[in-house]
Amino acid sequence: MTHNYSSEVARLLDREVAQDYTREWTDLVCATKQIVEADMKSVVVFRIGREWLALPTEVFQEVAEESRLHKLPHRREGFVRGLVSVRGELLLCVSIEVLLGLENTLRDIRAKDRGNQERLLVCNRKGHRLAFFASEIHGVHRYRPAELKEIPATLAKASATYTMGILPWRDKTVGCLDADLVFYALNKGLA
Amino acid sequence: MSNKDLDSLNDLSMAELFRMEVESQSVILTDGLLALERGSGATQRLEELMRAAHSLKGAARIVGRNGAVQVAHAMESCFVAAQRDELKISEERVDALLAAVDLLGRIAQVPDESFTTWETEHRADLEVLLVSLAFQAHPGVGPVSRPVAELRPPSEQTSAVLSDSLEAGTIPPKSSREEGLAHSNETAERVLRVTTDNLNRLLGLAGEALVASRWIDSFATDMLWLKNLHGELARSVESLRESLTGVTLKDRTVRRLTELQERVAGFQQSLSDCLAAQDHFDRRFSSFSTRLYQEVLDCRMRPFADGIQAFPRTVRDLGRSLEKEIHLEVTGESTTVDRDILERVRAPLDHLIRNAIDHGIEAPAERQQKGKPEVGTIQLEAHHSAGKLLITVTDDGRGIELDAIRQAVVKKKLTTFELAQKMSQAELFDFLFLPGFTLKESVSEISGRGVGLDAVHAMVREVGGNVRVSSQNGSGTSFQLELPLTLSVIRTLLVEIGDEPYAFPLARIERALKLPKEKIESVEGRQHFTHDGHQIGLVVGHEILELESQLSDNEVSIIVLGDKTSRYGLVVNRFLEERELVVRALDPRLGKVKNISAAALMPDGSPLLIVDVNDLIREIENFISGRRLSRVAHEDAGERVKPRKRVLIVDDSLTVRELERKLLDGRGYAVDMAVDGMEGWNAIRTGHYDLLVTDIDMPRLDGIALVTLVRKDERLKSLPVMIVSYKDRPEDRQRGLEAGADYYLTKGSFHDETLIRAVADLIGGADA
Repeated sequence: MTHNYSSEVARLLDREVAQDYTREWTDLVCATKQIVEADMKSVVVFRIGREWLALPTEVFQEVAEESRLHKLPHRREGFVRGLVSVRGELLLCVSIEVLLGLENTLRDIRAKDRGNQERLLVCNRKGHRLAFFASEIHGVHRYRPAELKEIPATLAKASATYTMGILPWRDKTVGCLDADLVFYALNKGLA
Repeated sequence: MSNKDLDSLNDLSMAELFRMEVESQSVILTDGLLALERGSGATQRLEELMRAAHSLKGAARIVGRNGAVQVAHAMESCFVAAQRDELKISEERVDALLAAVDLLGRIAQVPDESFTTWETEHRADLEVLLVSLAFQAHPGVGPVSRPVAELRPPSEQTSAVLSDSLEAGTIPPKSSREEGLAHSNETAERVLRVTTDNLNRLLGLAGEALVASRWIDSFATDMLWLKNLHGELARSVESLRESLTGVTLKDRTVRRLTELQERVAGFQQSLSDCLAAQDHFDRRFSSFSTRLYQEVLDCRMRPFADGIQAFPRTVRDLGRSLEKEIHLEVTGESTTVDRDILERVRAPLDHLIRNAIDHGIEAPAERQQKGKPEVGTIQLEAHHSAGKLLITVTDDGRGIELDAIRQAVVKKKLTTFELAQKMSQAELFDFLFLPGFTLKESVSEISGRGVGLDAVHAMVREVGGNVRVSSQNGSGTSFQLELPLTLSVIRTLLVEIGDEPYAFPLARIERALKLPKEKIESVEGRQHFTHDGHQIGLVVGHEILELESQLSDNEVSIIVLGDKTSRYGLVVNRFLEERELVVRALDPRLGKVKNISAAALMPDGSPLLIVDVNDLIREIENFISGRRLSRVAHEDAGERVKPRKRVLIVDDSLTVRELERKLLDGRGYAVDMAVDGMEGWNAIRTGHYDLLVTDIDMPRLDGIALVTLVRKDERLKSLPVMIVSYKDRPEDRQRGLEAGADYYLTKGSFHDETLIRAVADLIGGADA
């Protein structure tokens, strides 16, 4: 059997290269390199309900495995959801959707999302740590500040406060959140 | 410093470093002074004292706290003079020097921004203290001839006075910090400052490692299962072989069969090896992670000596004020105590020691009469025993008279005369811990004994401990505190309330029981059950905690909680298990979480909450008496409160902020504050305000920029804005108004009604 393998391998490596393939590579190699601009911004794009949102990459510490949430007694209102444990540490879990006034879109979409695992995002902002659940995480996206567009007047009022601008991404638009303001409001409203 | 965002000392402000320095040097100074007074090792003590004072002087100069420089300098001069035998450190001098230590402590606590004000206000105190120190430091002879009282602000001139003694060459030219470290190196093991945050994170990771080590066991079970399956496979091959005996096979088939059998056997061997290796690894990893965990827990332990540093001073000062001479004997200083417990027993111990000085130990004359040594003794002892920490405070004073307790008990109608006569010593002593119980009225010579003991009892109970008294009439009293070794690990009962786990400290549970539903009686809509002949009121756990849940139908799980005065049954959804938990503090940003004291992790790593039983009992009492408003009633009440107009004040000066807040709050406006332009910008966008009042000169974002941002914002551009600034030139005013302010006031306007009038002008009265 073994001699068959080696001859097959040799044949595979020695085969004639398809013309299309050569052309494809030639194009790729001689194309002008897209220089990564120095002032490119990096954000993590995630989805909450049907809204695609983004926060600066540097505020995120990790994406955690799903952790069980423990509610805090006497707190039915507000955006504090409770405690989660991430790698042996207890973290406060907040609800971005409540802060942004997106609870309704989340309720509609949760049924559709069933089976699609929620992800826990852990943020560390100047030493203050918080976690929140997102319906889906796309990952890191880089953009030029010029790509950021004005917020349309139709945007819900609460989330408009926290949105710096709208970013076209794939066939969707992403609301770029103002990290300073989001964490300011979150930290202030914890007690 | 635990609240700091980042961990290293580099991030502390100079003022915080100064405070830490004062804390550590104060300990050295107090210890040294007390030792000096007892007359032990004067030469070495003076050297230590002088170094400590010198270090403090240097540190104070760095942070520019002139008052502290002067005090430290005057102290140092005293010690230098004493070293040269030009000054005797008398009791009065020790008093003055200790007062100086206290003053330094107070200076260190004053925040930077208000220090100038503080110094002006306390100038007189400072002068008095300096005079008292200087008078003593003035020997009348010798080289330090200029009176130290003339030490005014630490100019070059004052240093020159010192330089005489400095150049005498006792202090090596080191920085003050190095000296402090060198000192502690000589006396004890090196101690590092670690933030609580760091330690907690370490504890979290060690705990997680412990949890992870338990998973290996389940892998081993899987492997064993594989091994068994494989054993069956081997047996199948064997029986196949046997069934083929006698059958004529091709050579090739026989070869294949043998090969198969060999491979199966070989595989079985590797599987066994694997299993053995894994078992070995499991044992090593578990023992390693258990030890790691234990080690981290141990980091929370401090020697007992660290918690009682203030007591020798208390004994001395209080003793002197009562004209009693008392000696404090400490044993078990190196006994390790959890730092939280150490922190929390300090007040009860202080209380017991004060009681002993005040009421226990007799005046010298009385002691002499009784044939006791004139000097009274208080013994403070700490040791570990049977998994508990025992701390004993014993005095050799007059003791507690049992008949006095009997009389007081009967007088307070707590029991009858006959019963009181029959009560044992222990039973009678128990009365001492009742709230408000005192022997004061009944027997004057042991007046006050018992006052505040209920507080001691409550504090000790709070950490899950107990207090015992024993006393010999005429020869002394002994209080023994029995405490858990650590607060970091507690034994709890885990229960489920509203589908989530909650833990109750075992020490605070009287009983846990299951009752069939029929056993629960209902009177006037209130449920209760009978237990040991007592009626115990029932409340439902998830209702108290305002969680949504349903109870199961047939059996009721009840935890009986209570204190000395009342007992309640709390219905939980179900009992889970008894478990030892490592206590984790809740995020301080949450503030006090109602009815919850801390959190912990379940064995599977998911979170649970630990119930604050004291809090919960109060909550239950309120609930039962109907004082807790139901949600609906609460909302109604909320609506009746008149909505007020909201004002945001942005100013970097605490004084100005407070002044403005008081003025506006006094007129009924709802006021929020921000400390600089950036915070103001965040606040104004997230809150709903009717008016912005801002300063101009501020860090991060100044007032002009803030107003400009507000005017550019779609939603805020019509918000009324007022600038209040010290800048009163016309061009400043012009700049402010051009940026978009509606009003420009100078800070002088607080003193009259200008500010209020301007606010009313812009947004009207306070009612929204």
